[in-house]
Amino acid sequence: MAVRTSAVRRRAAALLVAGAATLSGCAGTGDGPRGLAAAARDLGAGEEVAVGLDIPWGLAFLPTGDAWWRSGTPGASSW
Amino acid sequence: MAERHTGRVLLVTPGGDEPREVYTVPGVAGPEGPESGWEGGLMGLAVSPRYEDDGRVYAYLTTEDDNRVVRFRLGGAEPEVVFDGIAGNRYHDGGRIAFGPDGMLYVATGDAGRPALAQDPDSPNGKILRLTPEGEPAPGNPTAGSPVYSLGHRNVQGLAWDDEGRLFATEFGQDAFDEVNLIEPGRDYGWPEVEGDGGAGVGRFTDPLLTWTPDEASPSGAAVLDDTLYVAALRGERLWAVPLDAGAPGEPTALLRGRYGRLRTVEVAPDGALWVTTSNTDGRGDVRAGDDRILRFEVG
Repeated sequence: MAVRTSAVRRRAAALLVAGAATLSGCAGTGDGPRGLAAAARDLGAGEEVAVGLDIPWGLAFLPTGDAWWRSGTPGASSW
Repeated sequence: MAERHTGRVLLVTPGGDEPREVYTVPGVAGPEGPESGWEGGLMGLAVSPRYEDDGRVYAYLTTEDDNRVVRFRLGGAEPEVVFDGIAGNRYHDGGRIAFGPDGMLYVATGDAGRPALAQDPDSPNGKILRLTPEGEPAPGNPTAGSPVYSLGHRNVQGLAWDDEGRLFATEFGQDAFDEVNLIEPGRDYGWPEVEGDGGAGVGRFTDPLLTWTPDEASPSGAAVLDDTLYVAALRGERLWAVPLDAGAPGEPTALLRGRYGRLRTVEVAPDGALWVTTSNTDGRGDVRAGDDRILRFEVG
């Protein structure tokens, strides 16, 4: 899998390990070429807040933090 | 079945009751059922930064005539048009809206299948717009009196700011490269002259921060949590995590790959959790039991 980033290309000639970092990054491990800690650990099991929705799209939070909104779209959405 | 095509707004309370319909946005155009080639409808949603005083919610929708932004009060009367006249189409309708740290309303639009609009400064299509909450061109925009904040976009569906106020936007490419752009006022991001990198070399355009191929991404929603930009990928069926260093990207990591299918939206909740929505019932995904869903993830 070839994640193609500007950062990767800028460093490709001087730092071949960047390619390996790209591959390992896609597998969910490793630091990036800038030495930044990528979000290496995958997320755990998600808590299902709501199921059976019809094409949810927008999601926004109320300032109280105890309630959430989402919209359902008519028709399919992008890609 | 008809409900999912009515433009409903639902209230979702974690650990609480079933989602509850609290408003229906009228005038939403679209087919009666999922249709692969249709991308419009009720899309972006934003809560007024003065919600406790004004009680307003903003939404971006496709009507029979255009794409537009409206605002309303939950349980209230007809919505008020905030900004209209964004050309619509079966695809490339943009649709994300968000209030920035400056209190202005940012609107991500698409080119509506007419690429030249993205380079037309008088068209709201293929742009990121910056508006006052009342829908007027925001003070301080690159061109006084114009809502245009940046141009040269094909179809932007993700907007997110980091703690320093930098704006990141995700953009669907055509065949070769999806983009994450660092948005700066007045910049031209190249579409349709350039897809992906290469625009900066000719002087007029700004290159993306990073690119993916459409099968890796097709990026919709975006959110920043701490020093990481998260991007929800539809066709890529994963959540991209991009470490940030003063706005510069490190190596992206693919999360949730192969677990939930197409991902539309990612947002940071007030408690710091990530909320992610799936989009498998949109006519382009493999629907699995429980779809579509909203998921909550603890991070760190």
